[in-house]
Order: sequence, then structure tokens, then C-alpha cells
Amino acid sequence: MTDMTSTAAGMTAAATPRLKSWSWTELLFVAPYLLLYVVFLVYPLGLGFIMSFQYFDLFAGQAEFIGLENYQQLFSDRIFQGAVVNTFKFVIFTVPTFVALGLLIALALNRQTWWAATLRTLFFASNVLSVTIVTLIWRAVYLPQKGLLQNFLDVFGIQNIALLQDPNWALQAIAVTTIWWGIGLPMVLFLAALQQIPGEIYEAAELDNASPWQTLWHITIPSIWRTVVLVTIIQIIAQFQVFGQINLMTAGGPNNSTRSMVQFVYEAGFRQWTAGFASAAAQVLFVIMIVAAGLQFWVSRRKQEF
Amino acid sequence: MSGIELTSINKAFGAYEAIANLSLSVSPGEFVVFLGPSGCGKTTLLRMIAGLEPVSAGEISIGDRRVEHLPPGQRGVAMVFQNYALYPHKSVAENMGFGLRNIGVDKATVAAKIQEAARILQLEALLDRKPGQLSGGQRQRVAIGRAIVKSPEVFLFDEPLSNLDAMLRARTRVEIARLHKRLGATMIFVTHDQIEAMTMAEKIVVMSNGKIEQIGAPMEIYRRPSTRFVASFVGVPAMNFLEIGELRSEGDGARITLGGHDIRTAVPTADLSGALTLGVRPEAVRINPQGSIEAKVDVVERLGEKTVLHTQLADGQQLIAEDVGESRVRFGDVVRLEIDPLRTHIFDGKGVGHHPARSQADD
Amino acid sequence: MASKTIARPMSEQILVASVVILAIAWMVPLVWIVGLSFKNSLELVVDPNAVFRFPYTLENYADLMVTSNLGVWLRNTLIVTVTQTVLVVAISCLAGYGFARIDFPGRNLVFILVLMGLAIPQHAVIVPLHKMFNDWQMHNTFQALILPGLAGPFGVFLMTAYFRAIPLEIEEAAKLDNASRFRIFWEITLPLAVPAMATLAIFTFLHSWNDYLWPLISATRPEMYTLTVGLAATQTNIDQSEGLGYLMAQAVFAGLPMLILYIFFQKYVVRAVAGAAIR
Ligand SMILES: Nc1ncnc2c1ncn2[C@@H]1O[C@H](COP(=O)(O)OP(=O)(O)O)[C@@H](O)[C@H]1O
Ligand SMILES: [Mg+2]
Repeated sequence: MTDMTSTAAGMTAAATPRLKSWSWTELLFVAPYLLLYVVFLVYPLGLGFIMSFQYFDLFAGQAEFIGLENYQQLFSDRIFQGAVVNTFKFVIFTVPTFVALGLLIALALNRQTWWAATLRTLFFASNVLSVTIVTLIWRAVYLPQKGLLQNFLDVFGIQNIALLQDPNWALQAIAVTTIWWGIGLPMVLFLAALQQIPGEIYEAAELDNASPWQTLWHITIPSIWRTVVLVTIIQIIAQFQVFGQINLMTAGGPNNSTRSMVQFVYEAGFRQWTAGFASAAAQVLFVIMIVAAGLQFWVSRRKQEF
Repeated sequence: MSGIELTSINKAFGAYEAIANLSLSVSPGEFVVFLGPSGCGKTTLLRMIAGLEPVSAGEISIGDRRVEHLPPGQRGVAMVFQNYALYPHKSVAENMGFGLRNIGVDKATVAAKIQEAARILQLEALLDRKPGQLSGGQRQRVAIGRAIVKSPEVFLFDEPLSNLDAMLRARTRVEIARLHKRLGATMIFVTHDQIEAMTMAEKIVVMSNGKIEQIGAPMEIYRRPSTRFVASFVGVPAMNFLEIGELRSEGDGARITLGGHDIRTAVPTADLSGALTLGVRPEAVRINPQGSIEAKVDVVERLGEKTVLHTQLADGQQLIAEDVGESRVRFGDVVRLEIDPLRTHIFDGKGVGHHPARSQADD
Repeated sequence: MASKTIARPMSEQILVASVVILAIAWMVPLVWIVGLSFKNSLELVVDPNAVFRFPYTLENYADLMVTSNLGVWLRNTLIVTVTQTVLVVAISCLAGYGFARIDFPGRNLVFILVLMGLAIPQHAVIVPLHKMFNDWQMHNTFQALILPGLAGPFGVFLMTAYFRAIPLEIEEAAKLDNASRFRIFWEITLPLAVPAMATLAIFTFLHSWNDYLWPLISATRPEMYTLTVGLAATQTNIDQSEGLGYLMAQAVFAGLPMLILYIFFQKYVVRAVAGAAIR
């Protein structure tokens, strides 16, 4: 834009050199990153798109264009359909819980006391553990006969609980694990939002004789509504990509009842080695993710409340 | 010591023209103040001289060098920023020495120059502190010190006093004036504060909307404002402007009828045209029982050494007058006022100022 | 302040009480597995409730040192994580500075294109990435484990925003002080960005330490496993395992460094994680 005019002016008035605002060597600042970005993100993205139209033999290194066949096969694949459904189910199990529980914990712990600080530390702590450790812990918890859960249920005389082996309960069990693992993030986001609310509003509400419930509904929630929406979207994006827990706790079973979309891509790509087919599934995932990310961008740039 | 020559400078930010065809010459060793309201382009002009902003068109010379294509470091200028722009993580001494280190001055010389500047600015005890540990006034002096050590040909100051409290501002004004005498360097000082301009400048450049309104010595600007804008911007309380009803020539100057009153001026009538306005500073409007103007006092402001009277004429126009500090005038009084004809101005339809002939006014 | 003297409402007490109970529930699995890790595995096979009684033993941890590959995996993880962290911080600082301060033509467009990368999930490019490293015959190398992690735009985004918030005048003063572009970056602006660098370093370290999918795919030889993948490999037969105590000792051993890091740098860790989430 302005660059065009300035170079044009520079050509006509070649006699008087202009004050330079940048030089070629300064591009070295951005060059290393741009190179990595193109090679390891942009190029694979394009390559994945192309691969999704190919039949691909990784070992022979052969590729053959087959048009939309991967997609046709994908959309008629029962297991893929199941994976899409499971993924949505998982999002519905986890996201509202993350929001509600995160907000509840934040409301309770939004105070300057040592015990609140300790509990905040505790709730966030599981966040820093890797998925492998988390699943190791929770597989032990869910272990039939020997697990912590069974230990606990024995007290009530409930026997032979094997959640991860039960197609009706495995996904919920993984959802619980996920919430245990990730509750710290919504909590800190809500805490940050709660601390932004000016104290005077509460004092004014108190003077207006508002009850705690009225204060919550008419002051607190509206003040942090943007964060509620943001946390929801962040969690949707994150939980849509659920993979590690599933791969480690049930590997998609029993009876495909926990297979998620990413798990499907992984299995197709690296268990069955059908890279083209896996790429097609990855494209579907990518499109959904882009939409969600666009939504997040839109929400986070909006300064106004909804 | 170098002069500065600006020729036909233009500066556009996109479609917005911040500076339009501006030319100006600053003599070597001169102390020039750019004066104008916020947003008129003072900073932009200063930054173009410094090389922080490219010119869109035009030429800049410092000394006998064309510089508009040179990077800031090579123009021989030093700048003191409005918010000082000290390097927060460097000590006072490091702040001052950075510029010298960058051009490969040896350590001993750098240390000597820092000591010298610190002595002039009374910063010796603070050399090891970080800017965060200094008061506003001290930071300000460090910013000046950072300029001094480089012995630049030209000093540029961008509203350097605006972050100081009133007392400190007055003191620093004097210090900078002293510094100018001592160093003898060319200095350009930007401000929107007309008191700073009047007290410090050898030459004031009054700007408005990216254009120069008037260039002149402080008293010249004060006594013979070339436009109504300049007249209204310089002087506190501001100049009175009164709509002129009838005007006729009598002797050397115009005689005016204004709200039924008869006012004598020493302004020649020859070039007057368009809708005319009479301009008169409050100090030229005095209480006089024989005065030709009758006015009712609205507000009485007692400043100690003088009293400012806000009055209203019969036709509703406002007129500010001055009286002695011990004035007996009170709110609601009806007073008679007289205007000194030699200190009147008439502004024509285009806002151009007309003044009494020089020989008479400069007595 | 006044609320000290006024009784807290009932509803609030209920809320606090339930969150305290929840916190205890949150802690129980952690305490339990730590307990398991100190128990003899055979004793646990006989009676799972043995965890609540003496004797406790360090034998699982001793076994860990001798029999497992944990040392190798820990070393691999450290190499990958530290290298990745250092490189991400360095490259992001450079690029962030470039996008914030250098007026090259098309800068804003390029920056927007980079930001759009924030929306690309790792999972969407994993198949082609695998193929690329396969073609280059680079799987089971440190380069393969490290390089893809350098491409994420979050660091550039963070550093650009931070550099943009630093007053331009400080750099302009340095320009008038004859400092070269790199000198301004290195000596003036970069030291002011240390807090952002700390945030980015911690985020990258955490992310890299806990990464699972890419190492799972790329590192297929046990001697190239990272901790996450190694632990994943050993837990596949947890259901049949007699070595429950041993497995939990592994979990404790692998999780402890992160927990310690978290306790010491809690403020930064929380800021890093939250900042990365919001973007
Ligand atoms: N970088 C810029 N981009 C666009 N407009 C600018 C820029 N810098 C200054 N301006 C505009 O140019 C005008 C003059 O600004 P400035 O020189 O800072 O005024 P002053 O210093 O007299 O207050 C203002 O209207 C300002 O908004
Ligand atoms: Mg300005």
C-alpha cells in the first residue's frame, strides 16, 4: 500500500536517497521462524490436503490419485461415523462440566487466604502432568477388583465394577479423568475474570439489599460472561481433539465405543498405514477446528459483552 | 554549532497531511521554540529533523550537510523525549554512556564525559541508580545528560517539562536556558505552553494544523501577532476579540464604533477588508472614569500583583480588563474602561493581523 | 473489609464446603498412587487394601533405577525439551521483534498468515509430517523429535505482542545513540522482554515435556522413547500386571519434576498456560 508509493517515489527521485525504514539484513529476524513455519506447518498442511486425494503406500513410497474416493469411503465408514458421534458426546460430557465446575471452584476460591491459595495450587497441579501419567493414575483408579474406585465401592457393597471395559461407561470414565486433569485451566481463567470485577459493584449491590443469588446472577455472571463463552470455546476446541487419554485407557474400545476422531486418524494413519484415508479424516477434523478457532477469535476480539 | 534549514517539507500519514510545505531556517546557536496546540505537528516536525520519521517531500540540512536520507545516529542531533525514554535496565551512567560506546569512544573519555555531564546536572550521586529509582525531575536531568555527553550540534527537546510539577517546571526552564548559554549549541524546543515559549525562546515558531503561523522573537509574537490564531494562542488571559460595527479613518488610525461606544485605535485603515475584529489584550484595557466604554463586572479574579476583571458590554460582548492588585472593583459594579490605542489590533476577514505602525508601537 | 464483621451467608458456606470436599476427592488418587508406589507389588496382588497398612518399601524405586529404561527416557526427554525450549524462545524473540519493529513491506500480511497458524491443530498435520520425516529417513532421531515443535506460532504471537507494548521511544533514543538494529534488539529491547521470555519458556517446556502424539509416532525404537512414550509403552498391560507398585513408582518418578517445577514457578506456570489458552 504505502510501500508501493514509497518505492515509486524512490525511483523517480533517484538522485536523493531516502531515509530507510528497513534493510534486507533485518529480515534475518523473521527468516528463521518463517522457514520453520513454512516447512513444518504450511507445507504439511498442503501436503495433507493433497494426500487426502491419493491412495498412499508409505512403505513402497507410492502414491496414486484417486479423487474423492477417500472421502466417499470415509463418510460411509461406520466406525468414522461412530467416532464423530463419540467425539461430540465427549465434548458434551466434558465442556459443560468444565465450565460449571470451574466457575464454582473459582467462586469459592476467589479470596486472599492461605487455604484458598493452597486449594488453587492443588486444583491446577494435575494440569502439569503428562497424559501418560494421568492415565496411569486413572487406569489404576478404575482397575477392576484392585482399583481405588472398586475399593471405595466395596464399602457400599457394590461389586465388579469395570468402567473402562463397559461400552456404556468407558467414555464417561475417560471424561471424568479428563476433568480431573484439566479443571485448573477454566478455574484460573474464571479467577482472572472475577478479579477484574470492581469491588464497588458488590458494595453497591449490598446497599441495594441484593441476596447472594441475585448478586451472582445479576452482577457476577454478566460481568464475566465473555470469559464463560471463551472458556466454553477453548474447551470445545481442546476436547474435540481428545486423543491421548483414549489411546492409553481404552485404545478406542470396547467395541469402538470410545473411538474419537483424532484416535481414528491415528489408527488409520499409523496402525492400518492408510495415509491417504487418514489424511481425509484429518481434513474433516481440520475444517471443524478452523470454524471453532474462528469463533474463538471472534469472541476474544469482541470487547463488548454479549 | 550548526544551523538548520528546512525547505518545503511535506509529511503525510496515509491520506492525512500532517505537515504541509513548511520551510524554516534556524541560525547556529539559536534557541528556537516550536509552539502550537496539541496535534499541530510539532512532534512530527522534530522527529523528521531527528531522522526518526522520513519526510514525504522536501529537504533538511544541518550545518552544510543534507541529512534527510541519513539515519538518526548520523545527523549530529540529540533528542530529549517527552517521557524521557531512558533505558530502564541501565544505570544512569550507562544510560549516558551508551551513545558514546556505540561510536567507539574509549572508556576513559566516556567516563570523563559522564562525570562532566553529571556535574553540570548535579547527578553525581545518582550515577549507579536505575531510572526506576529516580524522581521525575532526576529522570528528566538524566535524559538531558544523555544528550549532553554526545556534544551534539543540535539539541531537540519534545515537551520535556510536561511531566514535571509546576515548581520543578519553572526551575528546569531556567536550567535549560542556562545550559543553552553554557553550551552555545543550537536548540529546538517543542511545547504547547506559551509561557515556556515566551520565557525561553530567542525565536518562536507558532504552528497550527501543520503550518507555520508566525516566526518571530517572543515580544514580536506577543505585540504583533500575524494572525488571529497567534493572537489568541499567546498571552494569558487571552486577548479580547470584539466584533467591529462601524469603522472610519481618523488621523493615523481607525476609529471604531462598537456597541454604541467609540474606540480609538492606532491601526491604519489602508488594507482592511472583510468582517473585522478588534483585538486588545486585557492589560491594555484599564479602568478610567473618563473612559469611553461602560461595562458591567461579571467576575473579579485577584492574582495579587494585578486583578483581572471579566466584564460585559451593553451589547453582550465580553471584555476582559486589568486593574491594579489593590483594585476596589467588586462583582456587579459598572465601570468605565479605556483602551490604549497603541496596543490595539485589527484582524481582517482572513484572520490576518493589522497593527499600529512600528515607530509608534515600539516606544 | 466490612464483611469480616458480618456473618458470611449460608449459601457461601455451602459452596466453600463443597469445594473443600471436592479438593479432597481431587487429591485422593494422587495420594493413593504414591502409597502404591511404596508397596511391595506381590502384597498388592494378594490384597489391594494392603496399601493402607505397613510395611512400606522403597524397593519399587530401587527397581526403577536398575531395571527400567527410565534413565534413558529421562535423558531423551531432557534433550528434546531443553533444546526445544531454548530454540523456541530464541526464534520467537527474533521473529517477534521483527514483526513488532521492522517495517518491511507486507509485514502485516505475513504476520496475519502466521497467526492463522494458531488455528492449525497438530493432529491435522501429523500424517504428512510423518511422511516427510519418513522420506528424509529421520525418524528415531532427536532432530525429528525437536523440529516440528519449533513451528508453532504461539511464541511469535506472544513475543510480538510483548515487544509492541514496549514504548517505541526507548528504541528511538537508542537509534539517536547510534546503536545498530541488532544492538538495539540485544541490549535495549530484549532485556525488557524477560518476563515474556520466562512465560514462553515455561509454556514450551511444559508442552514439550508432556507431548505425546508426535514422539509416539516418530520415536518407535525404545532407546529413542521420551518419558511419555516410554511410560505409555509400559502401561499397556496394566490390567494383567502384577507390578502395580512398580508402575506407580514410574508415574511418581516421571511426574515429580513437573510438579516441583510447578510449585516453584507457580505464578509463571499458571500465566503461561492461561496465556496460551486465551491467545
Ligand atoms: N505515526 C502516525 N500515523 C498517523 N498519524 C500521525 C502519526 N503521528 C502523528 N500523526 C498525526 O499527525 C498530527 C500531528 O501529530 P504530532 O506531530 O504528534 O502533534 P503535536 O506534537 O503537535 O501534538 C496529529 O493529528 C497526529 O494524529
Ligand atoms: Mg507532541
